[in-house]
Amino acid sequence: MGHALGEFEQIILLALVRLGPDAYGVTILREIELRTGRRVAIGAVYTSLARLEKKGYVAHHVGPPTPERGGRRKKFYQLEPAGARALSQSFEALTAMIEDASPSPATGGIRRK
Amino acid sequence: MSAERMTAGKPRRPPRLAHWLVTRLLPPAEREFLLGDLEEQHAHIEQQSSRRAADRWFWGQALRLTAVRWTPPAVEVEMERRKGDSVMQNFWQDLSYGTRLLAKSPGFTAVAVLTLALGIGANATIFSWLNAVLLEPIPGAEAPSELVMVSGTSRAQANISLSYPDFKDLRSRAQSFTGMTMQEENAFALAGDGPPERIYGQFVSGSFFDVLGVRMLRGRGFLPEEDEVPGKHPVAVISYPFWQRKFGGDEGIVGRTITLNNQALTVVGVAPPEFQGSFTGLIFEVWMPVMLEPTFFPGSTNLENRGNRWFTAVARLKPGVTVGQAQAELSTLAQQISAENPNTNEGIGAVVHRFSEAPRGAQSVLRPVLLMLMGVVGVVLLIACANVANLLLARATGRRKEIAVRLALGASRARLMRQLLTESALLGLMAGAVALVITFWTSGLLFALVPATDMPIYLDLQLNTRVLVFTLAMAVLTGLVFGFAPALNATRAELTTALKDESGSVAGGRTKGWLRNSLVVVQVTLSLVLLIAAGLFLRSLDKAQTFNPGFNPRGVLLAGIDLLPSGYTSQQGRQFYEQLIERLDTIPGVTSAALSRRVPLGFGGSSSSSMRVEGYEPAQDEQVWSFIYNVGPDYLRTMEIPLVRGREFTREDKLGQTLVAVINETLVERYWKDRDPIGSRIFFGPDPITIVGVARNSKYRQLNEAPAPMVYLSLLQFYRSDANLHVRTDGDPMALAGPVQEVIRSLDPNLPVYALRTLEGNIEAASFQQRLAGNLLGVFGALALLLAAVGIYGVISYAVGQRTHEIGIRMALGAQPRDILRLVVGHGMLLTGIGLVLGTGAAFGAAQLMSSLLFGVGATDPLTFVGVPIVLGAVALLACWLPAHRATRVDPIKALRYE
Repeated sequence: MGHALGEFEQIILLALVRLGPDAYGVTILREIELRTGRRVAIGAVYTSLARLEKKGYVAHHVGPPTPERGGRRKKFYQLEPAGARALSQSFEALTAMIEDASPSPATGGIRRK
Repeated sequence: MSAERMTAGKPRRPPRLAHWLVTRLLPPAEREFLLGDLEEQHAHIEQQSSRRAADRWFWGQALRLTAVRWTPPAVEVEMERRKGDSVMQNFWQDLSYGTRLLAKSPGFTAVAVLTLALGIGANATIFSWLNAVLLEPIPGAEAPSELVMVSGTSRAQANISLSYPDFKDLRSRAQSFTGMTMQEENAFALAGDGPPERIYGQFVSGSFFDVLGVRMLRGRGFLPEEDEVPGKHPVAVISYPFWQRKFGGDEGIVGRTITLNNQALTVVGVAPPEFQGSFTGLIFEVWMPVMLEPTFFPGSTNLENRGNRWFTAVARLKPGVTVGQAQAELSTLAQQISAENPNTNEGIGAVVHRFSEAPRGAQSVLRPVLLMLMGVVGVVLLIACANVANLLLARATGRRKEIAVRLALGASRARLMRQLLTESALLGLMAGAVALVITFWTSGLLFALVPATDMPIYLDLQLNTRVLVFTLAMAVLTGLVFGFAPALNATRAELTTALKDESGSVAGGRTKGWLRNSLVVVQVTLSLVLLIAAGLFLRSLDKAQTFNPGFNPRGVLLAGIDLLPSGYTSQQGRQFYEQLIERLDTIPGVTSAALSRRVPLGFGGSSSSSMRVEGYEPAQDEQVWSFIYNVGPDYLRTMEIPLVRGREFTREDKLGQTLVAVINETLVERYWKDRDPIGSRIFFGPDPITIVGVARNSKYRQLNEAPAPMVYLSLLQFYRSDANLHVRTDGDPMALAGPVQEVIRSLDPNLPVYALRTLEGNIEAASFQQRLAGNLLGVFGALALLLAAVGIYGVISYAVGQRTHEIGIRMALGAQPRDILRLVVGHGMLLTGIGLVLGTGAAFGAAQLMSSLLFGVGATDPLTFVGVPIVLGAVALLACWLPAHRATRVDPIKALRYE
């Protein structure tokens, strides 16, 4: 595959793992806000999901109309095998880099990317 | 649903504007899911914390979605495209694309926006004036288009006042109106701490506020019974500013008392803030029932005497009744009244005016000028449009490849047109926004041109909804006008040439060159029309300023006083005048001083009367009449009006002596012919008045009036309580303001002196139309000249750029710089020449239309019609010469290698 995942992409994929079959816009948003404590723009979530879908990492299906959303349907996302692979590759790369490094506030800690 | 509401309280909907924004901006493919998510989370947050937090969150999300111009990922877009061409979606795409494109070339955008903004701003400014004067002549009145002004006519004059008995008869008999009310303006002395203050008010009939449709802010308007018995109900309605200024907005204002001219009046109501009275251009602070008129003017017979004509009426047309029908009815009624009262109403008619065309008020002076200026700014905007269209054309050349590629890839021409027009509409809107800022400053400029006067001039020139809508419409329309031709041109498919990148090819250039050249011709034509109009008005203004009105306006200070509000009887008043004249003469620097009720050539109005001349037999139906000035001793000497025969008034021409008059030459010509007027007698009433002198004619109401008959009466004999001091000096007249006030204070410390001004400033009123038109046309003309010069320069520069290759070849073949110069300048001057010929023709036509506003110059003034084209030609020559000079320095080698 070879595509490195961006941080936000990793977070989204992890959210899909955690949420299982109940992953759609609002739940993904809430999960990320709850776990990371950051404010997330819904547009950013959708943009990343579309990008990930194009790469074949995630797939979506449209659910039935829901009365609590005024008859609007939900767009559910699920992790694809390729996505799971990319996620574990990222995770491995990260752990490999962390090994032997001594993250401390003095050196700025582990740097992103 | 209802169960839900009863238990938990149904979650409210997200903020409507944000919701709408998101709905509009989201691509349809994602809209359903995203909106669902947003609403679900909104409800969630509201439940968890508060509605405010939820709304804030929703707004944050909505703004981020719109601010980053959130576009759907590529896959989805393709799918959406195949589904169909959504107009709204395309629009937003075009808008976002256009915005980015304009941001990429800030120079072009700035020039285009500024050019258009000047054009649109000029339009919005004049429109805001037009709106205040003609469309909303009475701020705060309901449906102003239904309001008409009713005044009278006599055999000699097209417009005179009405008498109260006539008004009552017309009001009770007329079927054309839902209501009719009267209005008469007066100045009053308001008692307070310190010396009394001069304020302006209107006597009105009881239905005044109902007819105008003005609802009271506090209290009530007048009751029917307050319109019946003279002097019985001393009540008043005050204006909002007056309430704020004098009572600090006291909520208990109804029932409080104000004292005007020593009369106590009970305040019964406060008018709404926007209402300033029913006389366009003047501001009033208090309204009283006309039944109080005799209370304020003891001995006045104005309410009973049918021959006393002293006010105008306002009426509201019944739905469906036209001005013509109302006029027909009133004419019939006036004839009836005339037949019933032959003594007073012989030849007296009634006339109905649309309020915007009324002969009194700001509209009478401003209407013709504003209508003309509206046309002028329209032309300015057209010139600006031509300029920007030219810029767009030049730009389109740079974008030919982009457009050609898109056409080749299957974009429809309509789709591309739409995009280009969206871009120009966007430019128009940006210009509209800048224009509003400009207009915010310029709309108040009208006041800067209003001459000095003793009246409280006021026009509501604030930008209101109507002006905003006008500006917006103007901006969009402008965008479409200047964008259409370039868009049409740019999307004309010439794929092969465009794709081959032959940007300078002859084939591609011809049609655009034609369009561009035509635009220059149009610009020159329109600019010339404007400049000639500006020239004619500036010449008129010059003539008006140097015109000899028959008196010497320089070096005279004017000061207004009114003795009646301070409680003077006529006998005390005469005494005061005598003392005043004596003391004024002792002020150092004063060469001469006099009193006169009227000031010539101001906005102040005039008095006239019919009369009888001893020894003159009027023809059948002829009315013998004259204007009347009540003046004190030395008036003619102070004004420097030459005395032809006899003498002028002295301090001895007072009550108890023979009644005397001085008349002007026109009156002599009319009624004495070869007889000697000195010693003969005239009659305004039963008492004979002996003529003691003849004065040279001068101008009284307008600079261009026909010689008018005038009778000067001695103010000490024919007493009036209000007068203007005329004080002549060799130095600066305003320097006398202090000493003159000092003298008045020494006679009566409580007498207010109002409207200290120079005679020279006051008579600017007479040339107000020329001044307004001249000043504004001067500015607009300069603007047009600049725009035309820029337009010519742009086109010639562009042509030189396009023809670099050709010029290189010519030079390589031995052409001299002077040949190149002739080639390039010749091109520009040919266009200019065509424009000048067309423009001169158009200007002849335009000048005929505005000839009634000109003063002292003909509509075909040769100086203007020769001089202005020369100036414009010279500017055009310069604009051509600059790029031409650059062309001569083209290096043939480089030019040939250029492609």
